[in-house]
Amino acid sequence: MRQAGTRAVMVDVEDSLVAHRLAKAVRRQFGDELVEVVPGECSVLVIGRKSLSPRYLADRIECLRLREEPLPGEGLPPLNIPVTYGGAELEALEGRLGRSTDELVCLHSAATYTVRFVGSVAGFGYLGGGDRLFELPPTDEWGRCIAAGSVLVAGGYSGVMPRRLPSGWWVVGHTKAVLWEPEGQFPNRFVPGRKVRFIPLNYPVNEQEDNAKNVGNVKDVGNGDT
Amino acid sequence: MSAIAHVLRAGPSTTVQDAGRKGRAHLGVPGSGALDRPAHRYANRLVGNPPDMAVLEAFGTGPKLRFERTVRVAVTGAVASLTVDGRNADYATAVEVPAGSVLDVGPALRGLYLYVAVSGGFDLPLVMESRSTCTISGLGHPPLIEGDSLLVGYAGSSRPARPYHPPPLREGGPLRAVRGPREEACGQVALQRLWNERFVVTDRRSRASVHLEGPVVEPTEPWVPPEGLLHGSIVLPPTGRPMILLADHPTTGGFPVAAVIALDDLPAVAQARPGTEVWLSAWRE
Repeated sequence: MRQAGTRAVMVDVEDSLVAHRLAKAVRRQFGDELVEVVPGECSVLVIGRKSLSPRYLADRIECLRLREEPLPGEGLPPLNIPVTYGGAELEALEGRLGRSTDELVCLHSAATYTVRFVGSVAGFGYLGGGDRLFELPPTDEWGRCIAAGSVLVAGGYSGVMPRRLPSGWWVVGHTKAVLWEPEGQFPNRFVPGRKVRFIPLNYPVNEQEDNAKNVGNVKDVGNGDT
Repeated sequence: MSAIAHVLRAGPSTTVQDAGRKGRAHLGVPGSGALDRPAHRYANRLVGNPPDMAVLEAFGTGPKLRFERTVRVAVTGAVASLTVDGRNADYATAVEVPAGSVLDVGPALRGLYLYVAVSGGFDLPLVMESRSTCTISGLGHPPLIEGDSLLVGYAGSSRPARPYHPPPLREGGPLRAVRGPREEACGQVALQRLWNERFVVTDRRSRASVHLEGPVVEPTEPWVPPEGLLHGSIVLPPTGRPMILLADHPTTGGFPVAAVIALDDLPAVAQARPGTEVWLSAWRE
């Protein structure tokens, strides 16, 4: 466990599942004394109020017992995201990864993903469980702005950009699905534990979007907070 | 009774800010809130508001506003001149603006972020329990544009607080910080430079981050498993140009965090103009 600034601790754990369980235990224990609890790939950032010293937080977290409980997204129906694959970066990956564009699309859309955790910007989910081929470092141009709805890969994750923002991940396609509704009761479609599939609208990539009719329930609801 | 403030000129980047959103970083929702919290609280106190009420935060140049009802206003943070119907008014003082009059808040002369509080507060809808604009996630009122009208709340029985000393305006200088949490991904060379050299604030900045220039501080491991970030984190991207994260920062990321600046010193980062020097000093409890 490491101190992070003057009032937070970073707790290292094995994986995101343990991170969520620890985050839940931390919330149960401290409740309103906390400002933020942020599970990551293999860590939990716990930010306390000014009155809590990081040392006190660390000591108490050390003693917490984790419960084996399901993640909130496990009970939700899978989220199907229709994607139009393509673009210059997908083509750049062709050379870099030594696979044709169609093979890459096939690999990317064949996997069933799981929302590992949520973060970065509102409405963004880190989707794990894809092909290991996509465990590649981000692009060198991490400061460039990319369009809302861009489907991204990097570091073994996939994700969908909720707004036009800078990102260093590789853009492999685009979706029109609405995945973030800040005014809604359940703003985020990406809930930890939920399964996600990418449905290609154009496959092979240079064909028309005639597969659109095969896409199931695009606007499926069934969300859950936290 | 509410009244309306008409935006006659928005300024280059004026947002609505209060104490920010808490408890939603795990949903990707940044904390937001005023970058210079002491100046924000002081502005509210001057006009008799509770300290966390929503104010306007203007970058560089303030807004020009016409009020439908007589209000008290106070401008704090970056030092600026202001006028009411063309007549000079005092900075960091409660100023009465009669109904129909125009408040014009001039460019910042020192510092960057100006705060404009109005008696009764800016009464905008709460989004996730806050009125703050989040520039990254698109929450709250979008940055002001000319022609916007903002509701001003009823001031009730509130009265100006007794005068007390304004918070000092700090621009750059020494920043107290705690080492880590990812020092091992940064490497000894990078850490020594970061802690021993001086850096200059650049014009690459937003409400989410301030980019620094100076000796190259290249991390040995450019990518770490994505993890939670916090306000004041000094992240080392592969370019070796450190960034300091501010209130609208992404809630998670994969650049290593070399150190985290103490919250009390973050207004000095936000208010630092391009070219201002900053350097780290160890935080002591």
